[in-house]
Amino acid sequence: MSEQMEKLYQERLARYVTAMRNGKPDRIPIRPFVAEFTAKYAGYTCQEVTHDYRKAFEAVIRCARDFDWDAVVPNMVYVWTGLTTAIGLKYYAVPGIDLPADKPFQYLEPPEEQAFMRPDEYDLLIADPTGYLYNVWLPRVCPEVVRPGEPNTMRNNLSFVRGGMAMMQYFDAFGTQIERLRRECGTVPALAGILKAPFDILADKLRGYKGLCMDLYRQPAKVEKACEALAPHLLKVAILTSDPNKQLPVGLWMHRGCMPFLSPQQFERFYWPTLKWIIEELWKQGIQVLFYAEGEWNPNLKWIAQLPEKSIIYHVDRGDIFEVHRTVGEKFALSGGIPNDLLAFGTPDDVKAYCKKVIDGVARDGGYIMDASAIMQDDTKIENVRAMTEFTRQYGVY
Amino acid sequence: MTEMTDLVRALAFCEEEQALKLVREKLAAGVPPAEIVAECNRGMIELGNRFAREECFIPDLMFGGLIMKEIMSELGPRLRESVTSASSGTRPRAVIGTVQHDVHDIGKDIVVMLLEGAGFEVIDLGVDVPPEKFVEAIRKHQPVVVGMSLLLTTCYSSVTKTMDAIRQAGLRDKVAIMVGGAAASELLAQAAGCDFYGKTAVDGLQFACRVAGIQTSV
Amino acid sequence: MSPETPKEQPKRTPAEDVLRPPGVCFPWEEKAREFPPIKGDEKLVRQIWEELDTLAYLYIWQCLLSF
Repeated sequence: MSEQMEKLYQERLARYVTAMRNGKPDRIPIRPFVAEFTAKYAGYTCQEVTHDYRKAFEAVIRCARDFDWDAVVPNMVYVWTGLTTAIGLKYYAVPGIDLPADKPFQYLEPPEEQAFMRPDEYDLLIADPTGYLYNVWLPRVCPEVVRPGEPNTMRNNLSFVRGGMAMMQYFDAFGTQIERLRRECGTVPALAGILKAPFDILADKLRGYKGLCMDLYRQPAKVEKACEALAPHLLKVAILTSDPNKQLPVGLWMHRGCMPFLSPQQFERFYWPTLKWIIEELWKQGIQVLFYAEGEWNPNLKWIAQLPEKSIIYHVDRGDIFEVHRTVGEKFALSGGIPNDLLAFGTPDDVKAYCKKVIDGVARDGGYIMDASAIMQDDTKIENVRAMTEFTRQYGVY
Repeated sequence: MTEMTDLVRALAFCEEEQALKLVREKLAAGVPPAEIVAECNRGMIELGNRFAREECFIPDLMFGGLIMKEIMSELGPRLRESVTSASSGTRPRAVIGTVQHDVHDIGKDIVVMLLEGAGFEVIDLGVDVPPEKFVEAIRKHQPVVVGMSLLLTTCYSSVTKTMDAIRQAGLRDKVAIMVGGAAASELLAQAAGCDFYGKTAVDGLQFACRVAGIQTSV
Repeated sequence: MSPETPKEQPKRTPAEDVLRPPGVCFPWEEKAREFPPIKGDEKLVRQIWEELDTLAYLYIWQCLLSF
């Protein structure tokens, strides 16, 4: 590794970590959440980066080499469909198979009556979440896998062997990818580890949002107990997958916690208590959370403000970032707030003007990281990402 | 605003048992099914109004939609008898779909439910709808309004392609077009040439009602 | 134990009664009953069992969370 590259890496790491702890580094760090954008830039199809993670890694390396970014997610096309196909998971529309090769993968939530968790299975889940997942959920979402008690098949065994070995290979490969980013580009990995809210697990992968909406009226106490049963497991996975050096945050990807998906009362009762507990437990161990608030989360700010200082980096999507800054900017670093439709339809000058507005409004006292509002896919114009990067480098100096 | 009837209130506040009880009582008393449906329509509009005022949220719309479905299945056979003499031929039509390559349906389903609740005949094209299918539906059903839903920024181009296809088919001035969903925005609506961006499902409902001349205050 | 000797399966408790805390699929307490008296370093046997059992735990939870 060249000394120059390592020096660049250390500068960027210090800049990024300082900002995440709500401090004022030498300049504003740039950490774009780029997913299928990297494929567009590097000349790969969505199918290539989604089905072959080696190409996804290569696309990220090319971007990190060419753009002056401080941090980047080592691979943000997070669902490796080669793996999901090998296991036999049936809930994705896969580019090149179910979708054209140039369209990103999508999760297919089943119709309410075919939800992956039935309405009368709360007690099973609550008593033993891991057992429920292996014995009930997995056979339902994966036709290859047989339920305990049914005759075993070679296909069942192959699903586990392929899945287990592929998953090990994939996660091991991240180590090499992170090393390449450091050695070849001097770029810091943006995140380490994964977390989702208990309520979102119920809504996305188990009951489905429609089914869960009915449960909120018909069996609310079970919904609460299910979130409480899931929480310690989600905490465990976050810890097991987190950065051993405790410098990089765990990515928390939230979904149904905002209006209008839930009322403020429903958020307070069902979504928030267990999520707050997980975030606090992580912070007790010195682990920050990247709080990716997808959608309009500003009505929830009064609860988010309860979290310990510096425990999260608050990522802004559709919310008014200036209000977020006014309300919680003293406690937490912010990121995001540059609208994706501007990056798709605007000119580079439009983008620069907006970046200036956001920097002037929320970054002057430190604790801000430049990024788009939502994860950047193939709709994002390359010249606009270049404009966002170059402008922030030039204007975002403390 | 006129005072709400009990049935309107029951739907507007998602009181499942009360709504079904009142419907059964009215049926037993000989109230024509079409009149009961019209009263329920007003209840759904008021539910939408409550949503617009942020007095209730999507779970309530979903639950209200479920109650409406239960009511329609109670009324079903009797309604079909009275439909021939009713004004179904004069119900305004709406064509709704999630754009090509996007498979999300929750937002679309809520708009469909609200429009049906308000008295529209809705042609639901489903999800992943190619531009030509929107064009075909406009030609065949002659709706007053078309609604496109999208949840993914990666599907902006599906919106613009659908608008291009409608223009090329010479149908643009025949129909009002709205776009909504989590990925939609005013900028997208302008760039694509839509008439309206609906920030919420109820905004879309109110735009559609304005276009169709349906009153939205109860 | 000779490989030819069929193992008598230990009495299994129902799934609901097995303690399966975070990180655990098949608890050491349950597994330990299947071994003869351990002649060497029991802590080592336990450590390796639990590390590898956690991989099985991560497999299903990663399917749920990441895939």
